[in-house]
Amino acid sequence: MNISDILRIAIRSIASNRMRSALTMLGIIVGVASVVIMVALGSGARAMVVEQIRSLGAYVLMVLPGEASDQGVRQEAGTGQSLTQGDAEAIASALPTVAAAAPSVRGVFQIVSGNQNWRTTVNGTTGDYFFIREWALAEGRYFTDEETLAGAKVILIGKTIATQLFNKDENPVGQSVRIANAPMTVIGVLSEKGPTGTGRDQDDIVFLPISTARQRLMGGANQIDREAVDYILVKASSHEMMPIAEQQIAWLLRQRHGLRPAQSDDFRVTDPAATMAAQTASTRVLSWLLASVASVSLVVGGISIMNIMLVSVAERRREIGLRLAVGARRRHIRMQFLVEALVVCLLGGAVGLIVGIFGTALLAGLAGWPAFLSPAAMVMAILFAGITGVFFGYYPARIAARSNPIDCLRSN
Amino acid sequence: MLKGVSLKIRAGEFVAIMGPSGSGKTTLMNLLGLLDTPSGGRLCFEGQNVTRLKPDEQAAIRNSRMGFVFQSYNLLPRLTAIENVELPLIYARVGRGERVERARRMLAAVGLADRSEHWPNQLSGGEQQRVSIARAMVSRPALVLADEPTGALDTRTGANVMSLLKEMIRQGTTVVLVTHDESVAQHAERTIRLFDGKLCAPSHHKVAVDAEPFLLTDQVRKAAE
Repeated sequence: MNISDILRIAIRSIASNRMRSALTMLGIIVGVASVVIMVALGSGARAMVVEQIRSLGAYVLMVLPGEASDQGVRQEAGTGQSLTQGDAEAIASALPTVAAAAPSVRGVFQIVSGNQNWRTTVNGTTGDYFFIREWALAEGRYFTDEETLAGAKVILIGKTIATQLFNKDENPVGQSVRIANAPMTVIGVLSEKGPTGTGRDQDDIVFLPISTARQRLMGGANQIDREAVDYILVKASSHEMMPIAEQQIAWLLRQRHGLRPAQSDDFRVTDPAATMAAQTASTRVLSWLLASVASVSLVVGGISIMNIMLVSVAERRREIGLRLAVGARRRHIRMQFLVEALVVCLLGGAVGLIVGIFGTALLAGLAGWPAFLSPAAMVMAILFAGITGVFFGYYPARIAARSNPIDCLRSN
Repeated sequence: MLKGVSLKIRAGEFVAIMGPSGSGKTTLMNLLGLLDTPSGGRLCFEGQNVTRLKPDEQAAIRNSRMGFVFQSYNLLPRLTAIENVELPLIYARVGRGERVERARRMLAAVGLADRSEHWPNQLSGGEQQRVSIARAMVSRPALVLADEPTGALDTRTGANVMSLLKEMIRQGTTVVLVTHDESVAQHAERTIRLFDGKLCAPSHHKVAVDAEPFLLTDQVRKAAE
């Protein structure tokens, strides 16, 4: 009795009990399909976060001023004015681990174009900002170093601003807008970055040279120190250099700010990608959780297989008795039922895979969830279906193999 | 339950076993067919002591040396006639081609060449019994055990089945037949009568062919049935 004989017997038996076989498979189908869908959605969510981290730009560190303090009452982080444009220049020029540093000031202003208006974040920065964040242009150009120094009245706008202020057929480049009554010329539209992990629209933003922002928009706001900046964006030279750059920035700023060893930092260096990576970790936990829920349904499917196999063994006692009488060894009977369970599970797994793929496509297409089909997860799901079949099929198969031929032949 | 039953069946003999219900006919048949193990006594088959064999060893002998014909045919309903006949050969590890060929020839021998692809429920009772005889004979057994093979058949088809069994004898196969029917038993060379698990005086229809002792049960006792 070779493999093909055993397989033929198993397939014949499955085919002749279609309804029962289908019901047996149901649990496995649901299990495998949900594993495939869950892992696809999980890795989709993870890929989205990875994409968001990438949208920050690579090796980016953010330096924020310490909190302001008024007679012992501390304000929120970043409200201090301890960071200056000079700090940014020193970081960029003195530290070999740093590729670039861009000082930024920001405020929220109303932008008016013709009869349209929009309130948004306005960022005054240098041309390095776009290099650091690897932010490409959709149209137009960046501002030049001369424009940055001279305080030229030019702005770059995000995709959202472009759609809010201008018609589709209108080219925003070259258009004139007013920010806080100062006329500005749009010189470029930035490419789309999409929302951040927390859902903030990264394209709802306007950039202009930092000197322009100081002179035209924020002059009155930063009265204590006209050099103060709200944050400095830093690009480390490589991923490995990020922690070193972090330490060197801290050391440099302590030197520049004249802090004594006992004094705490009046600034903070953060790694926004690391913060997002922490979010990734939590989505990973979630997707494992979903996958384990799916595995539970595989186990439940396995138990239902055992159940139905036991019924099947009881119903087919005459067949077992006859096979034993004509000379089947116990292992032949055991193999027959085991292979039957295995084939049912693998068939169920294959159907589950197809259902899972369609389910994923449906969810991704209709609900717009990001999803990535993982071949590894599919192989694993099928493998688990097979293991389920062998594991839960073994006990009924053993019962069948241990039957007494006389009792079996006598039963109806 | 059998007590003090001692008997020899010679190779090529045609033996009928008769007796009322509960007399131990089925127990004796199960012991002869190695479907059961005796609780005491000795059982020999082809010179080999087979009293205490493991289930798989019994299965091996059943597979290669014995054939079974049941009153209720016991064909597998999900297999065609020819697949039913092939069954013993599958467990004898006979290759597919040879298996099909031998099963086909055997079906032809019982006159069912044109029924080989039919399902059991498409066959009449007589035809089903002929398929089961083909199945019993396909492995060229030394001993065929037939338990009331004509019990569910009318006289004419029963006679047909009996002539097939006699054809087996002619080819040298030993046949042991259980029956209630005296006219069926008349075909046999010898009738063993059981009553309350004991042997009654044997009756010989013919003088037994002198041959090597073939099968012997010695004081077989079955404690429980």
